[in-house]
Amino acid sequence: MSLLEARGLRKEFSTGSGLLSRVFSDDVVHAVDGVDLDIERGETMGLVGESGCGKSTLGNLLLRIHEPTDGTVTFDGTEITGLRGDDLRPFRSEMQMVFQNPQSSLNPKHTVGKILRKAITFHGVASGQDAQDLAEQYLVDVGLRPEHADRYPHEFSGGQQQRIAIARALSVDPEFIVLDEPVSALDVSVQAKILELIEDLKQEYDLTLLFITHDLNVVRHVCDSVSVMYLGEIVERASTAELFDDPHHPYTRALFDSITLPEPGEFERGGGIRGETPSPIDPPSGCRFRTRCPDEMDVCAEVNPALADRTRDGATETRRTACHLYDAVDDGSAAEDRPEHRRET
Amino acid sequence: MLRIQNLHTYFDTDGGTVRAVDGIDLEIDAGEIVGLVGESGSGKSVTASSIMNLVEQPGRIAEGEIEYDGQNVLSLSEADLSELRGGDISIVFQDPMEAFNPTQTVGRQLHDVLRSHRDGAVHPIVRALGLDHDPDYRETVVRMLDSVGIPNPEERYTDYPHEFSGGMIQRAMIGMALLCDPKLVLADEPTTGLDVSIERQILELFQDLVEEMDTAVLWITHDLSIVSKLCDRVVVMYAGKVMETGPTESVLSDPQSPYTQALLDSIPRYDQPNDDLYVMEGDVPDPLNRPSGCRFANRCPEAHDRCEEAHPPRYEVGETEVACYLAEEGHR
Amino acid sequence: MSTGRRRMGVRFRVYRRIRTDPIAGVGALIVVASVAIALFSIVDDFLLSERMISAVLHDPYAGDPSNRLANPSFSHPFGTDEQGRDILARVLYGTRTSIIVGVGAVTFAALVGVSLGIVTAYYDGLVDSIGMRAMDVLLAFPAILLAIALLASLGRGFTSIILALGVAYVPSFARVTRSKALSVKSEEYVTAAEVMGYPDYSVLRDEILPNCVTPIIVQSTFSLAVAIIAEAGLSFLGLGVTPPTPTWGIMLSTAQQYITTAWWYSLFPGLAIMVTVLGYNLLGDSIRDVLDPQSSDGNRRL
Repeated sequence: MSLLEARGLRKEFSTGSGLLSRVFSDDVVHAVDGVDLDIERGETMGLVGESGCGKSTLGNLLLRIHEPTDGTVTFDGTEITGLRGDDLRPFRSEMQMVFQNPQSSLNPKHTVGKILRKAITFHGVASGQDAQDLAEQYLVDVGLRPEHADRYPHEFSGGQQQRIAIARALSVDPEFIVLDEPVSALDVSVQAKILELIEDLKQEYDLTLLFITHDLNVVRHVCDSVSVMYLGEIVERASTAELFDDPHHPYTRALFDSITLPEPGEFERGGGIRGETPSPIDPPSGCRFRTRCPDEMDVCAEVNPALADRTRDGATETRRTACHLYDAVDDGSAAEDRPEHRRET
Repeated sequence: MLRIQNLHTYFDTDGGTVRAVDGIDLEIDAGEIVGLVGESGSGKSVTASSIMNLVEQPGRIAEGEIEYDGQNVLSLSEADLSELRGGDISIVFQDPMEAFNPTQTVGRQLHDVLRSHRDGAVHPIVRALGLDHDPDYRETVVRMLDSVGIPNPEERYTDYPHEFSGGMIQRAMIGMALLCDPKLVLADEPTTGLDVSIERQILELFQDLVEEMDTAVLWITHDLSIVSKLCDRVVVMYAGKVMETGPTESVLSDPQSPYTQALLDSIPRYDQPNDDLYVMEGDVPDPLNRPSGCRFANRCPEAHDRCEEAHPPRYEVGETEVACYLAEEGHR
Repeated sequence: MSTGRRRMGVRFRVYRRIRTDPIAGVGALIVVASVAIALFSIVDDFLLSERMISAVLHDPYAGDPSNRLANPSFSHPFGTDEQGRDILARVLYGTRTSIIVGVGAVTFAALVGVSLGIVTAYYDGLVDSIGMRAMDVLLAFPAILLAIALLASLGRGFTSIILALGVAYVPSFARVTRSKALSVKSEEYVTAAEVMGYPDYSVLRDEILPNCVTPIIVQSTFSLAVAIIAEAGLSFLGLGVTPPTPTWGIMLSTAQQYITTAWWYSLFPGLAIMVTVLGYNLLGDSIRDVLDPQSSDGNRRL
């Protein structure tokens, strides 16, 4: 049984603000549009995509920061989608998050020690002096010093602030942590340190991680498996080695083409992704990527390919991907129509 | 063409004086694309604003010379500087909001830039009434919008900045910078924050345009990968000093400065999955309290006693110049 | 990126501004002086068996029929009123009413307004709409009219005025707080608190409220200034606290009749009001400049 399971997750945001326009507005952003996900215990899954693809929203849905418009989230066998308040509270200490911007993820009015102690005490992990000791210990675990507990967040550098945020997430002894672009706001040299820290902590605390990022290079170093997301849907999912060795979905391939490595030379022209991302309010009919896909076929405009195990002609190895170029295996859940959203004109 | 010598730009803050740029030299020849690379606190952005004497309070240029085409930029009057800024030297910002007025159409703004440059200032009333609109200039603007890859440039001419997507407004900004056929473009992290795919498109476009127009470029970024493909030469800055400078090819394939090497080794690469990322020990020195020796000494894997005494002078190694005692013997 | 442990504490910056900027310094001086005089007056009037002010100047309550409406002189620097009472002493004592009413009204307004502001900002939706529309209704009435209407049902007296004015100023606090709370709400540390499972009241109290304090403080100084004028106005209209408590408003009201004969009678209380209000405004302006990151001299950017 997976540690975390999501089925049919969907999240819509309306674009109007205010009471009336929310009721009457037709414009709805389909941030997450029918996502199934399985994360195994001990796995580090990378969730990759460009801005606006819904990866952060998906992370938020898993942690119940937002209510899904549809679909379920199951943690360790228990469905947590409908839970609230006291019922949800025990799960909170099992699932934590590290945010993108370290500066704004720490309350500037609280000392570092207070931030950690509050979490530790609230979830009953320890209290009083024990809580203080534990807080200091976590600070040391993330590479800081016990006396830092008396300082305020603004007194630290970005990398240190991110360490504090990680310490906070760890302090309640969670099983699962979502890291939402944890190193994107940091300098390259600091990034390397934090990635190494995450790697170490993962081993030491036996964590399951969802690593959200737009940077495929980072994914390669940190993640066991990868899910690629585009316009609210997952278009490919594979182990890291498989994905990097042989990306199937045209979007994944195009993403790889866009990567620039620090090797002196010329840009490889003709690669990359053409065009711009369509609006999530009114995505293309059928396959969402078809407007930028070099291999678009007729069927792509009509039927949105479902995420399923597929093969290339003849090959036995399957890949979980959502593309008509590949034939679905098994139960004909294949060219299943995924919900379409057309704006009424 | 552009020559910076011994530039020192300081900021006077409550806690003390921050020596953001602490003695750097930089040269850009005509038609050259130079990358200025550094992490936060390196002083790269301050260098850019110093070039055009645009350093804001409490910053000041404490020392140094900046020469453009033989003229001393720092001694120019505000009027002359303005003329230089719009014409020969143009700037591309990171934030389009700094470049564009949200209440005017993009086309109009580009038109006005072109007009001021060619014809001088226009009386505000004339402009407000729209009487200064010149169809020839409009034509030029539309062509520029087209060459930066904006589809339907005729229609987009009358759109407002907020109607453009992130990638499109960046293209428009590049268009605005190149409109007056500048000799030098200063680009301060203009593609940071954009999606990688869009960034790539813009970089390729930019490269084509500047090569076609033979414009010199100073491209400021933290991203060595961009520099590796876009720039002919690279300048690596750290804590207010230049650590290494030379042709991209040399610096990136055979870095002479341990800092450059460390930086390269910290970058995760999907084609090197099994190599551990290099982790730099320690932290960037406090800008208020920098060491008297080499800035990188406390984190350098090859530091020795001399490094703590004084910041190393520049040594030439082949086509590269590096500030590191290890280079004294010639090659590292 | 912040590095090191520079003293960037808010209190420190405010303190330094007061020391260096003459305008802020004057404002602070006036505020402190007014509070000090008010406190002195309370102590003197109610706690000491013999009023100290009588020793130094004159007894504010003691009339001297032989010395009515006397010009300002050395022994009576502000002159005397129609009962021969020393105006300077009365002006000093009058500070007490203004400050107590001001502080009381602002405290009430802040307690109610801030709570409302934070709650409506956090819960959004219906709660927000109702709450804000209610504020709009209150704001539609000029504060003085609202206060008068409330006083009509509450009767006269300190508590009534404080309550009446307090209610009138609730919307300003609610708005200011709500505005800041909305931007605080979108900060990631609030989301982090939610992910941690903290109950709503804890999030409101520990995460949002402490980060809204600065605009509340600024608003307080301005509201205090307004409250002082309002109290004077109400006293002037005869709706304020009952005599013989000296208040600036009552003095102005009585002084009307003597305006041609005893100019000092209207001048000094009026001056007192003006100076005090000015002081609070100046201080408020300076504090806001120090705390507001959007100030025109954005010199904290590096």
